Amino acid sequence: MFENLIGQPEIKRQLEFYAEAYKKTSIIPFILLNGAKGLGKTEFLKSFSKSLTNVDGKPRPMLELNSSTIKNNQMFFEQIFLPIVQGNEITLFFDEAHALPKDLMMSFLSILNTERTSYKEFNWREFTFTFDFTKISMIFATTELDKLFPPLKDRLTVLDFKPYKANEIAEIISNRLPDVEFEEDLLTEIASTTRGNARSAVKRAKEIETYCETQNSTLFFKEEWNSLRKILGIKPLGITNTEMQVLEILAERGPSTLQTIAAVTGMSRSAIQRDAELYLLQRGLMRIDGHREITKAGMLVLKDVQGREADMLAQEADESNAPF
Amino acid sequence: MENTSLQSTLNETSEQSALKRGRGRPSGSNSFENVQIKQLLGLLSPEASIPVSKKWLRDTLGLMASERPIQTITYDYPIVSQPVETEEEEEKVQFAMHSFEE
Repeated sequence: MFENLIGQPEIKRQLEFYAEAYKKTSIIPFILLNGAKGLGKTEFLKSFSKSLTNVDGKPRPMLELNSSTIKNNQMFFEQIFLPIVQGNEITLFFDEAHALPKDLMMSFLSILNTERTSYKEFNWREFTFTFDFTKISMIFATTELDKLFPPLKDRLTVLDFKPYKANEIAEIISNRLPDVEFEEDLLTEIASTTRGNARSAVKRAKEIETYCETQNSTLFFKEEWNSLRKILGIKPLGITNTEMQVLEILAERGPSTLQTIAAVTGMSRSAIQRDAELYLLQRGLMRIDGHREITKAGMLVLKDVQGREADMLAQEADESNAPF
Repeated sequence: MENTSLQSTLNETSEQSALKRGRGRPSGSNSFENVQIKQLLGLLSPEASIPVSKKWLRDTLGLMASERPIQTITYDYPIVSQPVETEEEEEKVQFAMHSFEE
């Protein structure tokens, strides 16, 4: 079922279990896929959904809904349920389910409260809508589990996606580029710049492919990687310019408050916490002990980046001063 | 010619108001005169605001003016127009269907 997908062994086991149970019962639990963007929620779901077959033996189609565009019950029932879902065998996939409107979440509390049956009738205004869960599979996904209405979350079976390991990312990149030959261990270094994110890995593979095409070469060694890093500004561990800025402030000013960092960067406190500090803390590049401080690992990364930038500037200066 | 006739009507009205004495409106007197739109247009631009009675608005055109505050209501020329139906753009749910059939 997941032969083309790398990583997430727990998710694979759980979904394979539900797919196997579906063959006997024709129902699956109400699943909630939880995890950061780019971890492969939709890709895993597509493979899973393909394995669910309808009465006619054909794969059950999946309707992927952008939850934030459903503003109320009326939009869901009038635009989705009546014309597309009612009377059909289908999987409903609510992406970014935390953005569902409150009234639809409340309706789902009733609809998904099935206990022993696989059938639910739901009355809305003067209409009665029938949910036969042998025909309708309902799956949700979110990147912000804390924003999902807790009673709704309680009715769902939560599957947590985890960040990818370096070797998994390396495998994703190498699978995408079967014709490219990599220097030994280089893939692991490249993988470290994707932040454990499968989508970033695919994007990086595309960048390498483009680079190789422009160079008319299928060899990708350290030299090529350094050249690509320089062109695209790829930093160690894939840290962003904003994260670099925070590290620089902490290195220059010593232990600082969030307010100081916000004042120097011009960003809001919440943006700094969400967009910069989270990853720096995860990677042990800074710590919060009353004040914000850069760690030794953070200093090493900072010096590495600054050293590379200084080399680049020196190289550019040499090139511009070189005689014709 | 028509404009001259309108002017004389207006002059008569102001003379009558100058002769008014005592309190209230004398029996049988009328505050309004019937005027042709084309006569008014000879004196005013199509964009001009003109005061009309709320009763006339209600009885003749079926329009209702707000009671307070008292204000001049400007209607686009021509005065008698069909109500314009505005169709609001319906919000759409974004979705994608994956069929998986080979």
